[in-house]
Amino acid sequence: MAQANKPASLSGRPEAVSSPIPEPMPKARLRRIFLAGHPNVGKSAVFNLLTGEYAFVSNYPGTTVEVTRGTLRKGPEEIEIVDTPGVNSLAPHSDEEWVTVNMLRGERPDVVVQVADAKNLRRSLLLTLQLAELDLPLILLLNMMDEAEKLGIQIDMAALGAELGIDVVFMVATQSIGRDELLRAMEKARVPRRFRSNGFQPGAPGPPVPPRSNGQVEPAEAEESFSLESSKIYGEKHSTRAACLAAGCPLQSGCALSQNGNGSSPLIHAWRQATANALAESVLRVAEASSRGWPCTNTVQGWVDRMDGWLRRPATGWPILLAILAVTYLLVGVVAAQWAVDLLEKKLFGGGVVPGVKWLLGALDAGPFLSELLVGRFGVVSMGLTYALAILLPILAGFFLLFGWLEDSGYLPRLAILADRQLRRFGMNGKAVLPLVLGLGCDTMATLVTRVLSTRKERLITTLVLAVGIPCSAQLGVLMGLLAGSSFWGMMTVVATVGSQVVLVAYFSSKILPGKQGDFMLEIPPLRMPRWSNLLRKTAMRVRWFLGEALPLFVLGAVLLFFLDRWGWLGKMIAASKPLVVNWLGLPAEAATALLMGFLRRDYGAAGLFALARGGQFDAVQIIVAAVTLTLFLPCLANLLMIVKEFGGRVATILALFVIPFAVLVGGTLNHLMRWLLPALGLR
Amino acid sequence: MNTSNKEWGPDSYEFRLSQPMEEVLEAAWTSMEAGETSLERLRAGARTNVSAELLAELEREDWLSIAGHRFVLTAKGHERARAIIRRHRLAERLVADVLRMGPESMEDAACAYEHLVADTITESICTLLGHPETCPHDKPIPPGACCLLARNRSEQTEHAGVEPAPIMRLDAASPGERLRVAFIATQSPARLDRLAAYGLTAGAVIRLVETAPAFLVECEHTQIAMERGIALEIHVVRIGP
Repeated sequence: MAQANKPASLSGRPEAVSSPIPEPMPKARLRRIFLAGHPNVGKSAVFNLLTGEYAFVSNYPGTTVEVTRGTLRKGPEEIEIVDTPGVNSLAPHSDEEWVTVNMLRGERPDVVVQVADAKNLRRSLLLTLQLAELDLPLILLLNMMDEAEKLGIQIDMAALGAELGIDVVFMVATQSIGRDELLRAMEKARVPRRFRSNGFQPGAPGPPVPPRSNGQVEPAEAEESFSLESSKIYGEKHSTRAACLAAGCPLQSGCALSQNGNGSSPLIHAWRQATANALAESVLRVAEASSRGWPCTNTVQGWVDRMDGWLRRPATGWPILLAILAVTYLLVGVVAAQWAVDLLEKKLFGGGVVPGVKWLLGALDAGPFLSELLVGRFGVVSMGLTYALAILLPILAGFFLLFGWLEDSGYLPRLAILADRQLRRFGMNGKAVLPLVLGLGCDTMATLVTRVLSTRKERLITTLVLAVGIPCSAQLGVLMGLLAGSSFWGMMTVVATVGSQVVLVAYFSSKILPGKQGDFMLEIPPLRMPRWSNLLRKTAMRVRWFLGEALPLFVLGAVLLFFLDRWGWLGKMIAASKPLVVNWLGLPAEAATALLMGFLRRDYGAAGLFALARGGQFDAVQIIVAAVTLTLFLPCLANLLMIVKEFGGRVATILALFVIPFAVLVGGTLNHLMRWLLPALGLR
Repeated sequence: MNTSNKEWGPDSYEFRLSQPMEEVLEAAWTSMEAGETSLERLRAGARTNVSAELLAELEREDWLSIAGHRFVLTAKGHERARAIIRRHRLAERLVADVLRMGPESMEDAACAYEHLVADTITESICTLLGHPETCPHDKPIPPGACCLLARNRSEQTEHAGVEPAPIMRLDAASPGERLRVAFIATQSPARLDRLAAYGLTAGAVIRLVETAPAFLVECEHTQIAMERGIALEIHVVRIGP
């Protein structure tokens, strides 16, 4: 009954005034430092700068979906640096955000470094206020200071530091500026002041008045201070009433605003927002001339803006996408898969390495067993290493380079806007573009990246589409090489068949799977010119990662085949698979070995088919059928294991039991259809 | 619904009125708005039984003067009626736009609300709604002090027109316009959280960049793309070029 009167009494309450002097941290050895912050602010770039190691840096939110750990060596000391996935707030909404929030709660690092985009101070401070509630020593690191300065943004860092009670340092991580300042700040990192919500009246005219001046600060132990013990409020279902009480809201849960949620309080948001705005206001100076960032009249920027628009709009965006695909095909399918592979496979391995090993074995008088194992039909060198190093490596390097360029330019988020409406029909939304395109790099990684999607249904559909229809880089390159020898219509047949199957699978799974479609809301980073240094480093890292992951399997596969062949089982297996491979799929019997390798890794199988095709053992229809079947097949063992890890064994089993027969069914149907249709049409 | 309501009246008033008396004042305002000052019209328009005693009490306390079949609001009565009408119509806006309730509950809620809530809260609701000028039935909402302040402020800082900009859905704005978020009417707290994390909350200044294929909004120096469904829940006011 007295509710109507309460606001007056609250606002009339004098604010406690005290000016605490923050205790400097006892000089303890730093052991673990967390990098946290919004997506796409450069946490990984800072990580690389500190540790000298390499975490992938790209220009789209969600590059890092798992924690990366590295070591900072500082004299005799070794400090663990932890790079975390980006978070928009500490109330997580997607699985990648959960990773970070759980880590912050569970691991209690010695210092948290909030990496922030200097261009977006208000939003950054909003997160700073939430991080401050964790009661851990905090440093605010303003990254991308160069871009901010170009926009005429000046930040009074000393004043901001004084207001927050922590050190504020700036950095341009990609140019190695600001490293030493950060290292110094780490030594004396402080626990931020707590902010009171006392001056906050939801419902006061205008934005709530944030606590200002020194009356706002309370010693950390102050009982009434507005502390959201993170464990209490974040994540766990927490009653809004308590949240409202914590915020000191006079209406408590009686207000309409608080009744629309069960885990979050708009009032707390309102309070934080107002505080962050007021803080930003007091330290931010924006030069008048450049405060209007849009539309820009500067010529270079003007063209970038125009380009940006073309990428997003359907009328221009789809043709641009086609052009990009054409360039990819030229570079990967033609230059890498034909020219470079020719050079490496025929000249280097065929003409140099394999004869060399043979000569060496002969000179050492090694005997037929070892010679067969190393350079025989299924030899470790003649097959395993040749496939991996001579066929896949050049194709992959070409693809990774181009792909890295697209990642760093900021193209992918624009593609997400473009494709949103189309993906929506299949139970996904524009955000799914990120994992789907990344799948062209590696399906295993992409399955992990589905974490950026907000609902389980979307994640499942995307994972299924990845497994069924998105060929990974290795496979794609080989397929391109395989099809380059085939006709244009042959290629179109493969694209159309795989495309239609993907559409069918996505459509039906979106109908069958329970759950909701998530919101499409995505931060669009600025278009940037990729830096060659990062591009080359990233490509080298990815190639190294591929070799580390694939090379052992390739060698293992060769050894396996060698023994199967030696013991005579391979012949039996090929004979047993004859009805399937020869009669149903219409492929030569030798293709069975390639498909067998396909179980191990889809690209291994593809490389095997590629080698067969280069030997002239396939006709046009066989190439198409082989390409389709292998594309629809499960990507690789690693991908299956990733699905087990992310979704559990049951989902993985169902998926495998669906995908494998499905691939064989579609491939065989296509085979019989073409064998019947082409002569009927008078072709061939 | 009787005299006990007197203790409940908005606390900023010296004299508190019973709910039936407020109903009569409200009806008097609406009939005067329609250009009618007959007692029949007043009786027909009021949501209470307008008895002779009630009218006599109102006249005795100087809210209303009656001459024959006609009535007129006194200065004091006019001021009070204006405040009631303002609360009622703002409540209708709140219920319709933010809480998204149907017309029936809108009326009930507004009727209950107009007798209850303090002026300070009315002002903040008015601010939250972006100082709307009309109720959902398109009748004018009498402006309050907060509206005049906001109007002055916008004149000073934006050199804009005399009238405060109307509140509108984001899809009514055109690309390139600078806008202030008035409120976000959503049923999904997760959505609200996400928008807030990007800095999109009531009061935020944004620029609409593009409306198709997705809505693209610039807030500070961040561009955020969102599906149309979310954009339709964001209500904004124009704040100049």
